[in-house]
Amino acid sequence: MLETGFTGLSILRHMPIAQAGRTQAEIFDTLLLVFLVMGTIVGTLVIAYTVYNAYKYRVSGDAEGRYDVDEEELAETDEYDVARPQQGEIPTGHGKGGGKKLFMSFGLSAVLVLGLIIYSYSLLLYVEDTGQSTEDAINVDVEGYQFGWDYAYFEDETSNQSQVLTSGDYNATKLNSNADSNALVVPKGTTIQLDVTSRDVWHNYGIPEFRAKTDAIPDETTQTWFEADKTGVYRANCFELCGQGHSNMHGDVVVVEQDVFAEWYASQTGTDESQIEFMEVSS
Amino acid sequence: MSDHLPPKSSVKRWLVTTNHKDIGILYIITSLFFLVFGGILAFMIRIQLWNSGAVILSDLGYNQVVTAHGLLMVFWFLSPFAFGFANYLVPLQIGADDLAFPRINAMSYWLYLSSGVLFGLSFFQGSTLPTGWTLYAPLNLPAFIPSVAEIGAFAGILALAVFVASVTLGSVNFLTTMYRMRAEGLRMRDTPLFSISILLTVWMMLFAFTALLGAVLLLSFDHIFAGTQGSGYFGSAEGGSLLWTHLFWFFGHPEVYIVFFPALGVMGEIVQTFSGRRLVGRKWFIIAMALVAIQSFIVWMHHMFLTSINLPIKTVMMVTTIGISLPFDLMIFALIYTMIKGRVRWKTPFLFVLGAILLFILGGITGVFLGAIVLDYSFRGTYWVVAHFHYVMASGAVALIGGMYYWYPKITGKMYNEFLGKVHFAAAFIGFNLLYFPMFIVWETPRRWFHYSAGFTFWHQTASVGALIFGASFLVMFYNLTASLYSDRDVDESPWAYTGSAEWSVSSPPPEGNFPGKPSFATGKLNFLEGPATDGGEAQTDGGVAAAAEAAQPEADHTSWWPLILCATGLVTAIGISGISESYFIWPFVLAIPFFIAFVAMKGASTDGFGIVHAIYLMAAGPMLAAFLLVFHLHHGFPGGMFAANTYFWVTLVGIVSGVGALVGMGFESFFAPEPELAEQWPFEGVTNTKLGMWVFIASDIVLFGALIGSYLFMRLRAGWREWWDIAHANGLETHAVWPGLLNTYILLASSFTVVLALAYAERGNKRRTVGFLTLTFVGGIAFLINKGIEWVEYYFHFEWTFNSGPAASTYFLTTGLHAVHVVIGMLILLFLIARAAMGAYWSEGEDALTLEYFGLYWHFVDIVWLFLFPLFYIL
Repeated sequence: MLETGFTGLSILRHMPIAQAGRTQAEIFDTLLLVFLVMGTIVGTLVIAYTVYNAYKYRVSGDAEGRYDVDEEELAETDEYDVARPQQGEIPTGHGKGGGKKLFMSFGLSAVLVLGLIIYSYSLLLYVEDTGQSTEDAINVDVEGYQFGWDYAYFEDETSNQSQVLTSGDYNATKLNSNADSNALVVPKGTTIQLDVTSRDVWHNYGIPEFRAKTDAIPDETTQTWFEADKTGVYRANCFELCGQGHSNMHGDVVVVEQDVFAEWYASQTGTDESQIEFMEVSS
Repeated sequence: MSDHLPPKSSVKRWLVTTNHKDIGILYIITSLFFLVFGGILAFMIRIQLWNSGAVILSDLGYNQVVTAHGLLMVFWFLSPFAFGFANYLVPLQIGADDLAFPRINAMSYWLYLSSGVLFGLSFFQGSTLPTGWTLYAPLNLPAFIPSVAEIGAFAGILALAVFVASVTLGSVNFLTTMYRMRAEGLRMRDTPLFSISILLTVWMMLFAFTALLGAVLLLSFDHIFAGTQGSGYFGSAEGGSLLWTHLFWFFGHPEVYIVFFPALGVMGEIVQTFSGRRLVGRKWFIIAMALVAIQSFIVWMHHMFLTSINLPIKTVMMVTTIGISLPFDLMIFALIYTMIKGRVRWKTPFLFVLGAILLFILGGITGVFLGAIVLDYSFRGTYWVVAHFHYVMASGAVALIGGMYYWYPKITGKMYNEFLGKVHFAAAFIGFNLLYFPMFIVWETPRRWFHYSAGFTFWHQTASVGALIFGASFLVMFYNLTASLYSDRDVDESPWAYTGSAEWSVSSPPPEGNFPGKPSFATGKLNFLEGPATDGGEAQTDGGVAAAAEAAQPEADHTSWWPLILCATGLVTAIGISGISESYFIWPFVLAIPFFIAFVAMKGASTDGFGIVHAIYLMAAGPMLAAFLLVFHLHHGFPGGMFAANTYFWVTLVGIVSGVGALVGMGFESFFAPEPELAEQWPFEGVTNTKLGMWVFIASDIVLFGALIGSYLFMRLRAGWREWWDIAHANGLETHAVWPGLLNTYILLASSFTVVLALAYAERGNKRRTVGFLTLTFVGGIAFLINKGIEWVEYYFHFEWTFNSGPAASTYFLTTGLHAVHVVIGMLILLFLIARAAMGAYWSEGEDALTLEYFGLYWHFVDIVWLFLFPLFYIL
């Protein structure tokens, strides 16, 4: 069912908008800008229109001895051809009007919303599989715990545990003095695929700078990816309440040049350098 | 009727009342208390966020405060506030004297209050829930809750369960009332917008809250029996964490609309009145609401876009989510267009609703951002979400405050101070935006963090200042509404121009019986018919001396102590359960059974006269208690085990024993609520109120079992359908026999048959066979339980395959256990029915057998559930 149902989606997937090579951060920025501009325009128009009508048709002044206007008095000057509510009436079946206009504006907003969503969906498809399916990527397993993150490089591709480089094995502070020793180390300009899980409770692993985020759930594995376009030290935060240390649960992400990464990776004990051959840097 | 109720100045009046208007007022006042409670917690959050890092709260303290703030505002303020108005206004708007089940309505209120008190007490049991209002698993389990917080956390969970009980009773009551008690000539689609919104709300409540009850039941099971990591339901490796999010959000998303719909109804009413125009596109407005109500049950996974659900499911959920936003566009445009060509008066209620519409527009637009999954990925767990749902939920609250000002003169008979009302609005609107808009600007702050980037400080401080203004504006409201009670600004039927619905056609406040005569819309507009000939409940409405004397027996009696007493014992029991240890858990409930039997005997003898059945009951109760104590002795040692038990055991015991006493008292109380003879009842003309109520209740019970069976299937599919049994065997289950289940199937089916026979003979007036077949049904129940008991003992004690032995054990014991509890409850009701039948009820002259029929419905339902459990847990 999904096979056939998704042929339409394959068109979306190849829309020119979903250009290969864009990072999650770039896609997010574009999309947020589009939504903000549209949202501001629509919001301003609708709010202005609402307040305008509420103001334009305003009447004021309480009738003698009452807390509101006098209906009968107002009825004499009523130039509008609309039915006014009457005490004890059955509200259905009276009057008409407004229906066409209602559906016009409903249709307009529907087109707008659907357009935005289809556009954003094409980007989702890119983020979900085009972005993730690249072969030339560094694969890192992330495991959340109360209260921090552990990393393991290329764990899925090795049969021998001793070949796996984990965050307990290295000291990232040597690469960047501002970083924690167990920071995630990644090269600039390379796709990093993350497989995220949790050792204890539900966490959420997110690197705001590169717009990578996914839930870290015990006994489940979720995926996300990112590509860093600048070097430096960034933060990986927890975005799901996970206990008393949640408010301060963050780790560092160190982005270095590709050649620095390759050299660093090769210098660690037990690493398999063939895994990063695709980076083709001369070290 | 009014003679029965003490005057409003008497405290007793408010404790014994079952009048819907009184209960509405109780709801409103109590919910405003919880608004202040939740508001103070919110203010503590804002103080904590004044600077990055801890300001006034510890880590655990902050987690408690964010959790309690969310739960209190969503559960104990928003919905009950709306249902205060619903209680007061729906009967007035549809032309009914009261709700269908006034005593149950009082119980709803007292359960609501009990649950709130229980939640409040949990703070003083060490710590309340520190898990966030979404209670994500497995952080919600004892394994991850700090030990200091465990009792309080469990009390918080039980408070949710009690709250759901209140909601379910309320839903049954409102649905029955609205389908069965509308004034003549008033079709459902003709009822005022507020009533329509409540109708759709209670439909959603009925199903969504029962799903929550299922989740809370599983969570309670985990807390009592399976608290360690990797066990029970939500700790299990078979998708336990995901299971919680599915169950919670299946409830949680409809809950958003449950909270917002009454506000939409209020918006509709107020915009109509203060624009002096009927709602534009009323029909489409209602259809849009109905669509949302249905669709709300298929969008829940949009809260889970970053979990391990796959792309096709995400796509479906995105489509349904966007789909559900569009009807709201239509509704908002309908409200806006109603103002055009209107006679718009900027009174306080209108200002609040106008403000709410503007806030909701902003909340809606920012919600579309979240519907775009790529944006949602980054917004997840940030202040964007916080800001968005506060704009939506709190705009609902703002509209309800408008409703408060709108109906204040109707409820009190006094007009509030308009100037102060406008001051309140101005301060609230400015404070609201100062509070929540900065959250969009610094949206990158992770949720439930109080450590944030230095650059965000200014905006967080702005928000805190906004919170102060927003909070302070409510002081103006409280002053205004209190002081106005003592003012001389009296109002007549309707202080507002252009009102249409029926509550504005009676005096303010309305008379005790609601209407001066029987309301009817048969002529196309509201009339009050005179005379007892057309009036089923004439004793209520005209209060004539002769009529009242003559109709002494069937007259509506609107006072009862039992709802209060019963709910108070429920509160005591729940407090007890929160701290009871696993090995003692079952005992208070077992020991309460002989007490129940003795109470039925004694209360029955004093009500119906002493008969042989009462003697048998009394003689059975003593040895039964002795037998249970003997088993207790074998298990824990007696009296040593009693003394070793902690205080919570005794609290539970006292609570449950007095609870069964209150149940018996309520069962024997003669309480009569007349059904209207002349009413619009489509499509339920052919059934009585109680029968419809029973059907609705059973519908909710189906959802409860559905949640349990669904959880079972979810975990079993994750473990592998056949591997499921391998895991069970590895955990100690040596063999599992099919034939005890088969035998029980036959026993239950046979007992269904005997209930039918009992009813048939009761209708023919045959005492011996009525009592005989009821007794036979009871015997069937005993046979079922003995057979079941042997199986459980075999598994639990001989195989040591306990509640905690993996997913197969947990699901088996809890699901069949819940069914067994249903059987036991049915048997206790049977004991009551047998005692009454033996003394002449149901079959003799002047009695009717309806009660047996309603019981039969329940009993058949319990059998049908078994027909699902037997294949699922024994054969497959």
